Order: sequence, then C-alpha cells, then structure tokens
Amino acid sequence: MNLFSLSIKNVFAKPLSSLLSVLLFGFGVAIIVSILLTSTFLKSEINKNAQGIDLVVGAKGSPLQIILASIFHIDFPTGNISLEDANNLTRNRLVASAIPLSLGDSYKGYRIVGTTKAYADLYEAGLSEGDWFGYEMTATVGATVAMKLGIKPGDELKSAHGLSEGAGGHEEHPFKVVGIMEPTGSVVDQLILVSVQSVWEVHGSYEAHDHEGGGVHHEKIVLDRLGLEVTNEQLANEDITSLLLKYRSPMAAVQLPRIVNGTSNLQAASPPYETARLFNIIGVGVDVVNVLGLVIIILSATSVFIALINSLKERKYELAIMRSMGASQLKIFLLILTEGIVLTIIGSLCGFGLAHAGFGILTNSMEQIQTSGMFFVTDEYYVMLGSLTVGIFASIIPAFLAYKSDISETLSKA
Amino acid sequence: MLQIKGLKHSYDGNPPIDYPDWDVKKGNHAIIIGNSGCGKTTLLHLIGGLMPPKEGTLVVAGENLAEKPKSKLDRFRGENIGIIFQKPHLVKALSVKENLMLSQYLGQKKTDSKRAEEVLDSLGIADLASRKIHQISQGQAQRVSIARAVINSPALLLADEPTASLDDENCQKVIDLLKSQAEETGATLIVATHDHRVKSEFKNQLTL
Repeated sequence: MNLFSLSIKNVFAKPLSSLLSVLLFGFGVAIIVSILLTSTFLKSEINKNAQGIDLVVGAKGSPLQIILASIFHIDFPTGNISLEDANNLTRNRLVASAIPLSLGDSYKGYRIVGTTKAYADLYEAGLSEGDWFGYEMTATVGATVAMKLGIKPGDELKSAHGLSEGAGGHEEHPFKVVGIMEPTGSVVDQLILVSVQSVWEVHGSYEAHDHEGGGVHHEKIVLDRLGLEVTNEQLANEDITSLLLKYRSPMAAVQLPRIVNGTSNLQAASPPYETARLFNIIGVGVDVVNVLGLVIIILSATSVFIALINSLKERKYELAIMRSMGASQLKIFLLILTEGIVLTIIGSLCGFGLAHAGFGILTNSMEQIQTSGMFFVTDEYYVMLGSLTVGIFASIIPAFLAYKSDISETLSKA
Repeated sequence: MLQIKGLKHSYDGNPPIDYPDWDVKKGNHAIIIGNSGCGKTTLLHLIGGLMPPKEGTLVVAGENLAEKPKSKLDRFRGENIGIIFQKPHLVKALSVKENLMLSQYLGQKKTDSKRAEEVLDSLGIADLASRKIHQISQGQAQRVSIARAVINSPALLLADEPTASLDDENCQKVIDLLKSQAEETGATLIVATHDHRVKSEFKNQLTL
C-alpha cells in the first residue's frame, strides 16, 4: 500500500469516467503523434531520395510534376527532351555530373527506368545477386520488386508501355534479369533499372540501326558527362525523359535554372524548392488537424478536471478520514495530483500506441514505403512532456481543493 | 492520558464553548455525554487533534496539543489516536483488508497483512478480508471501521456516537466490542454520545 497504488486503485474504481478521460486524451495524442510521424517520415523520405540531386531537367511543364516523376517516381513525366539538348546542357561548365533517365514503361506496376549505373550509385545501391544491367536488354531489379514479384536472375520481364498495371505490352522485347539489388530504403528498391539504350530498343529505333545495320557510319561517340555511348544518329534522333544534375559550384544554383528555362524545350525543377512548396500546400491541412488534436486534448483535460472534482465531492469524507488517520495535507494533494497524472499518462500511452499502430498499418499497406510502427521521432518526447503538463494542470486545482479542506468541519457534517 | 484545563473553543461568530476541566487516566475508559449540539463532537475532534485548541491546555498522551504546530498534528494523530466516526466512510476503491493496511500506511507503520488479518479475526469478520466495501453490510462496515481504528494500537481510542442508530442488543455488542478491543491493544477508550443506554457502562463521565 502506498500513494501510487492507492491512486491507481482510485482510478480503476471508477472505470467509466476514467475510460472517458483516457479515450479523449488518447485520441487527442494519437492525432498529434500521427501527424508528427507522417510529416517527419515524409520529410526524411523526401530528403533521402532527393539527396545528391541539385536540379532536375525535364520537358516543359509543371516543375513539381517533374520532381515527382523523376525523383519519387509517383507522377507521370511531363514529356521527353531530345538527347542533343540534354547533352548540350551537360557540357555547361556549371554542371558537375548528370544522370539521364528514360521513363514511361513498367512491369506489373513497377517502373522501369532507363538510366546509367550512376543512378544506382546515387543511392549507394549494391548488388545482392548477379550483375548490373548492360546495353543488351538486361535489367537489374530493386530489392522490393524482386521480393514482391519473386524475380530471380535469369527471368524474363515483358515490359508494358505506360506506368500503370495492365497497360499495353512490349511483348517482343523482353528484358533479361541479370541482377538483384540490395535493399537501400530508397525509391530504387521499387524500380527496375535498365540501360537507356534498352529503352530505345523496346521502342523500336535502336535495334534497327545497331543490330541489323552495321557498317562504318555507325561509329560510337562517347557522351562522357552523361555516361552514354551512342551513334551520331541516336544523338540526333533519340529522346530521354529527364536529367538529374549536380552543380559544380553554388553559383550554378543561380545561373543554371535560368539557362535551362531559357532553352525552348527544357524546364528546370529544384527539389528543395518544389518539396518546400509541396509542404506549404499540405501544411495548411496539417495545421487544421493539429488544432483538432489540441482541442480534443483540452476537452480531455476538462474531463479529467471534472472527473476529479466529482470524485472529490463523493470522497470528501474518505479523504477527511484519511487525514484523521495521519495523512498530511501534502499527501492528500499528491494523491489527487497522481490520480490526474495517472489518467493522462494512461491516455497518452494509449494515444502513442494507437498512432504507432496506425502508422505501421498504413505504411505496411503502401508498397512504396518501407518503415514500421516502430518509427520514432524525437518530437514525441515533447508531446509526452506536453501531455504530462496538461495532466498536472487539470488536476492541480482539485488537488489544491482537497489540500485546503478542513477535516473537522467535513467530519462533523457527516 | 488526557488532561483538560481551561479549554475553550469557538466557531466564527458563535459564543465560545467552555469545557470543564477533566482527567482520564491511562486505561481508564470514559464517556462524554450530552445532547446534540452541545459540543461533544467538537471536544472529541479537539482531543483527536483534528483541529487545534484556541485556548487552554489539552494534554493527550503526554503532549500539549495547544502548543503543537499544525504540521506535526498529522503525525501525532497517525501514531497515537484511533477514531471511530458515526459513519464508517471506508475507502470504496479498496477491499476490507486494504482499508486496514491503508491505516497502517498513513499512520507511518509497516503495512502488515498478517496483523490486518488478526484484527479482523478478533472482530469476527476475518471472512470479509477480500470483500469490496460495497459488498458488506452497514453493521459489518462499522466493525471494519473499528478494526481500522485499532490496527495501529493507538494510545487513545475515540468513538463518536458509535451506537446512535443501533437497537439495544447491538448497542451492547458494540460497546463490549469497543471495550475489549481497547483492552487488547492497551488503549484508553473515550466515547462521545447522547445515548443514555451507554451511560451505565462507564464510571468516568463528562457531562456537557
């Protein structure tokens, strides 16, 4: 028997009113923690995937769309840009390196990305099996794709034109899987990487000129900034979807987007700027939900307050008799305070549990996201501290009333 | 055990009550008798240290309560005094035995489950030990409140109208019980009552 076990017993002696307080508190905390988890997770996910990319160049259109399609692989590309334009741009002295991307095909809902090995290096992806893709219709598959679809090296993938499942096929040009990547926790896990040339071949032009043609005028030129080897004809005729650029100097951040946008067909999109814009748009909604969470927590604090005041009225003789048995005023004060704090702690623990379980279930159901309910952020400590403070505030007045009450007066009216 | 000299008490706006001087020796059971509203309960509360006396001397168990600071009264009560109130007012969230152990905890004694069982046994209610308060009858609750008052073996056992709502038979039983419990724990028993059935049971009487 001590103060703490006594307050626990008092809390459980009124299951319904305690349940109401715990539920309200739990929901308020759950809402705030869920928002905290998702927004922190989204930001870290975005930062992880946009790491090492200073500028994305695509066809004219929405810059946000270019970012979403080329970095996060969740929207449709704005169109294609010519290889020649892309190559000219990479020869600018402000560009440190460039990675070409050819998007637009998919396999069972997973996107096929025509690129170079540099793209895998950007995400520090290693091989768990087999080899990297080469020019000849070979593919290296991301860890999640391989696991979900059960793909092994040696399998053939018949790609589909378009980014959604069930789109029209490229039956006659299957890719041969030559390698599987290790999990990276980034967007690469969801992708099937092939060479840019393979994508051209699937779409009909490369094969005709390279395999069947032969001859002297098909000499290869090396586009070293892009890491591509192409023929003159390809350079003149082929397209890619976008370019991921890295700046050589901070000056480039000012000048390069202007140069790109000045080129008639190109559009520059800066990942930090666009994601900040995206968060601004979402931010309003986040604020509204956060306010809702706070309102619920204030309601629950009121319910804790009322529950304590009511139980004080009911228990005033009990408390007076406890004083007569030797309990000091401070002990009674602490007893009531502990009861309020116990309620809010149980409530906020339920809230944390609920938020993490919900987050775990939500992210598990989304194939593109890899995390679990055990994802914690440091700001949660502040929520914990905040709810403790709310608990103390809700119970300090009832505790003080109990502290002040005159035992003799109470007992002589019994 | 108890000495009262020139003790006065007044509630705000009311004329003060003068209490006659009174002595109770250790182990010498006594009764405070008088009609309702004459200040019996007030005197009992003063003796029990539930409020500080305003004037006069009031020596309980060798200590003058008039000189004791309020903060030390709590501890004094817990260690020296057991009070049985008109109504039991047991802590509803706890079982019968836990109520007794709460008394041990608040009186700064070791919580001792065995001692609690012994006291319940001596009052003939050992089988109620694990019952919740709402599961026992009024009469049983009163016995539990007696057990709660004697568990810490107080020097002074006070009872406020313990027989007010009882029939003759049960009135006698309760008085016998209080006396035997007081003797078992070596306590001095003081009963405040308006119940004249009880009067003949006590030699030392203070009439207000």
